[in-house]
Amino acid sequence: MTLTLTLTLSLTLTLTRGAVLDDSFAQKLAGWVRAKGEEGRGLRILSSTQPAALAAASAVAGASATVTHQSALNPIFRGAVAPEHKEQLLASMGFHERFAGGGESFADLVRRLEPCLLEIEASMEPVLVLAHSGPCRALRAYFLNVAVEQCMG
Amino acid sequence: MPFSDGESSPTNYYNSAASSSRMETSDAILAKMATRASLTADSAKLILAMVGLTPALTLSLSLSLSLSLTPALTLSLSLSLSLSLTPALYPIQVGLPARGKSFISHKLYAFLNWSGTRTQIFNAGQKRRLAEPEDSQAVAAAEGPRPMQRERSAASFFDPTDPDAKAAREEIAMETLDELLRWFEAGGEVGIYDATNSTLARRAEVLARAAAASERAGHSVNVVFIESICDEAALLEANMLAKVRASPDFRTLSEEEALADLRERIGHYERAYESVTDEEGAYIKLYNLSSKVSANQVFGRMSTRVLPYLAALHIRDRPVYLAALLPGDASLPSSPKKR
Repeated sequence: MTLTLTLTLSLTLTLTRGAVLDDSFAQKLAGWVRAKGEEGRGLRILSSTQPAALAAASAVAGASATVTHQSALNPIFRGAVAPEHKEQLLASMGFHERFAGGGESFADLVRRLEPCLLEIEASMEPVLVLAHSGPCRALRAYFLNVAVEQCMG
Repeated sequence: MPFSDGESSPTNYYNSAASSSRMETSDAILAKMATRASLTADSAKLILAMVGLTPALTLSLSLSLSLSLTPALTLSLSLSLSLSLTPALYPIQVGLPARGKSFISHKLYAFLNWSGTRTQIFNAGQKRRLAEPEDSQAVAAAEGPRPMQRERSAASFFDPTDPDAKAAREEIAMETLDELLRWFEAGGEVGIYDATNSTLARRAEVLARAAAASERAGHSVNVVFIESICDEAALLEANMLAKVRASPDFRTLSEEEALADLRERIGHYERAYESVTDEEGAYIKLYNLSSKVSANQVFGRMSTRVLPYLAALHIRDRPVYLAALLPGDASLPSSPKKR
């Protein structure tokens, strides 16, 4: 439990620092997956439709990997808030609180992830999810059996 | 003309020219539809009752979750989630032991809670173990395997012909169910009733208590029986071995003794086992780890969410990697472009 909390914390920190993804990340990820040797088992890649995820997916996808792009894996939609306030807001939001201007709440995010989760559960092959901090935290909460409100709000 | 002001008549899909003649719906069809209407209440509380023999499918599911945000920060954790005998869900399970009831309970619990439904598992087996006198456990631990002192874990406790043992089991099961129904009053939505529920009489009792509770509380309580059927000998053997290794019932016995005890316990249940029938109402049956799924009268908001989830479940070991990328970064000059 402590470990999980620490993980959540460090993720949030990195997010708020606004670290920049360097262009070799997709390649590094591809190398890491190859080292794991999962491709041989028929890796299943679920990717969001964001540019970074698309790039990573095409870099990782080998001969035996199947790639599915799903908008359900996209990051939380932050509505029409001015960009400089967005990160700050994200850290202080409650689980059911929606971003102003038609944005989503964490609860909305979890709801739209449900079909995606079913796909991961149903898969017999190893799964690689290429998504973003919010969706990943939500999925991790399910697999680790941690209350999702605790991981995200 | 569907939207004309005149007398509306149902469209005849077979012969549109003859659509003026109103079709008669037979009583049999109306009766079927009435059953269905009674099951679609949106505000209903749901009991998912597990049906089955006791040893649960305690195969541990190993997951590797890796979260990488930037190349510099790659957190990788590998863990073994041992989904053993401490479930807390609200569908009612039906099934013989070693058929995966507790596994399914745990998974449903995790899924329903995750998707925002207040869910709890009520496990009769756990209650039975708690009811076991403290001192007998202490003695058993101190002096090694002594079946007579492990009264409520030994196979003899599950003998259907022994009236005392039967009454005790019955009492524990019903206490657990009452606990579940009380929990509904406190705002619970889906209760998973993880007990053996292997006889018609027991299930009838569950349905009767749920109906009584729904009258008392004014909200409807639906019951869906979830039966896990495993009739492949090889699967069953593997299951039993896993159960023996994980269950606290057997910790004072050697593996061979425990397996023998478990076989005897299952034998007791099998003699009295009755599969869920269509007449009993809503059920979902999973055959041999979801290789086949059959459902009866599963309608309503919650029950229809449970069904695809159960169909998706399997126990094959495989890693799941989660990679958290920064979303908007399109400036990846060296990366391959999507066509």
